[in-house]
Order: sequence, then structure tokens, then C-alpha cells
Amino acid sequence: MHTYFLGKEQVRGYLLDLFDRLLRSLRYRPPTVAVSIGPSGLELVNEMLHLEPALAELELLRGNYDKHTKTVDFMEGVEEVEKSTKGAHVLIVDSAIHSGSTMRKMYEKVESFGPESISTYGLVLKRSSKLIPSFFGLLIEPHDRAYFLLDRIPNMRVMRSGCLRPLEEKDVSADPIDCGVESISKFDWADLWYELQLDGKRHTYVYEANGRLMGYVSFKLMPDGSLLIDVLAVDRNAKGQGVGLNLLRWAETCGRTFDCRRIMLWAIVEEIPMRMYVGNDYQFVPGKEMKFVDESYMLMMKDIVYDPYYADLLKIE
Amino acid sequence: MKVGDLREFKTAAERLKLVKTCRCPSCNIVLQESITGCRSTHKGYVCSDCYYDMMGEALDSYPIGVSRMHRGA
Repeated sequence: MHTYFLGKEQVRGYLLDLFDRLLRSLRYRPPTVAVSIGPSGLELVNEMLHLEPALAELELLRGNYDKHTKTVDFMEGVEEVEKSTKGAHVLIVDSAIHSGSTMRKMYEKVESFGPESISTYGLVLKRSSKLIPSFFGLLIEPHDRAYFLLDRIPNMRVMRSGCLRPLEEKDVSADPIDCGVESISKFDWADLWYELQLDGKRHTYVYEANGRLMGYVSFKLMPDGSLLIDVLAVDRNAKGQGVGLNLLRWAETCGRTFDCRRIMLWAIVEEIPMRMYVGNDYQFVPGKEMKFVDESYMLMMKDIVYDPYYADLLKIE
Repeated sequence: MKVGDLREFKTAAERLKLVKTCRCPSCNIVLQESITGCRSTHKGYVCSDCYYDMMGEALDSYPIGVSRMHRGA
């Protein structure tokens, strides 16, 4: 996973090139209407205005894709947008194109109004996007991130307090945790350390606070490009302190860093409230269920890149 | 409006009021993929911080895992 930082000068460099092509090249038609997508699209249009005053006279339509309702709408209202775009040369602008679904929905909506032409621009484009714009600045991989035009750059946020670290040999003698499930609780620190020595693709992290180990997560990289969370357990006395979320967040962050396509885990059917996983983007893997004497497990998965199968196709080995 | 009208709105906060935004129903932050995260849940799309808060409550009580071989077993 790579993080790109585009400074103001670099953003301006991309935009100046775009203007040269759109406004001064005989190869392209200058736009007469600009459609911005969301707050970041509007910020990019604002940046464009500072660099190229000739854009000031362009009609600006402020579009938005509502993920909750899955609809495209405009601040100006659909009737006004239809009137403005009919027969016009439209430029749709978004700052970053990830899955491509937002830009695609906007394109289809604008196209339905009968413009003369539509060009699309994204400052950043993810390679697995389902729409390739007419122009784009930076091309990045599915797991990568790009930050630009920000006064504040977000830090990764793993936990509020405590210490998250790899399991070490000295932990073998630490007090075991009791997570409330006997089959998991009986697997002690020595077992975890032993497992770690045998399997080079395994990673085990412990959460420590006040000199005590309060939980752990163990995961491994699978040959199919997924990250399997083998175990995530929190001591019963540490419930409600955010230990579980710290461990899960770190495991998923590692998944992205290792360029994994998806997260997999075995959920204990009798214990888990199913809606917790199903309602939070995890899906059952059909046919993958294990039954023991008094416990049943179901394999669940969550994609961590857009269209992981498409992303796989693009990797030619 | 014209693109040139944006000159009247000097700050990003002012320009934010010019557009419709998608917000996290839990903390009301404007959802932006790379900055806040945008995760699908049963409550709709939420930011990454709220997503993990929701998952964490249940994770503390319900561990993930499969029975496995104990050393010497």
C-alpha cells in the first residue's frame, strides 16, 4: 500500500496541462459547462479557477452522489441542469476516482440530458476503476491512497491508548486470558508462540495495558490473496475498553498494507450476533461451515478493495 | 452559478455549504473516502471510526476463532 501526497504545485501542474489541452488545443473541445462531484470536486474546480481565469464564465453545476439513496442529484435541481447541459460541452470533475461508480452514475445522468459532448476528469484514478475518465493525473493501485489540497492530512487511527505489539517470547509466561469461549481460552500464550515459530506467514499481535495482556489477534496471509483472521480474543475483564476494535482495525490495516483482496474469518454461530458481521459488510461464504460437538463455525469474508476479481485480472503474472 | 462566483466563498468551510454532502449518521462528519473512510453497515454508510466502534462492542464479547490443536494434543 502506497500513500501519495500531491502538493499545491503538483496539483497545479496537472491542472495547467489540462487547461492547455482543453482550452488551447485544436484536438479537444473547450467545455461550456462544468459539473463538480461532491465537496472534493468543487474544491478542485475552485483550484482550477485560480489558475485559469477564463474558466470563470463557465456554468457550474454542483452534483452529488448520495450513497445512502444511490441517486445522483444537483444543487441546481434537475430541470435547471437539463436546460444547462442540453447541447453543451460538459466537463465532469471529481478529485479522486476510486471504484468509478460515482463518476459513472454522474456521467449516465448528464448523458441523459442530451449534451453535445461529455469529458471527464479525475486528479487521481485507481487502476481498478470501472470508469476511465477522459483525462486523469495520477494513476494509483487499488490499495493506494492519495492526499491533496488538504490543510490537515488524516493519521491512521488504530487505538486510543494502550500498547499494541507483536507477540514476543517473554509473553509465554504471561497470565492467559479468558475470553469466555473455552475452546479459544485454553489456547495459551505458549501455544500462540509455538504456532508463530512454525508458520512464517502468520502474524500475532497482543494488546497490553497496565502491565497485562488483555487480548490478541492472530492472522495469516493466504495464497489466494486474502487475510485470514484466525483468532481475535479479548479477556472478559477487559470488555468495553475498545480492545477488540483496536485489534480488528490493526488486522484490517495490515490486510491493506499486504495488498490483500479480502478479509476472512470464522464466526462462532452460537455466540455471535449475526447481524454484527452481516450488517457490517461481511458475507457468508456458501458451503463453508464447520460443526463440532457444541460449536458451529461459519466462514465469512469482506472485500477490502473495489471489485477484487477485476483487480486480480489486471495482475498479469 | 458561474465558476467565477466561487471567488465570493473564500474558505473551504464556506464552499462546503454550496454542495450536498453525505454524512455519517453516527457522528455527522462529511464522508470522504480517503479522509474519513466510508464503510457500508446496517445503519447505512458510516465513517471508519464509527464503523470500528460498532464492531468493537460486539468483538469484546464474541471472539473470532476456530478450535485448534493444543500443544502435545
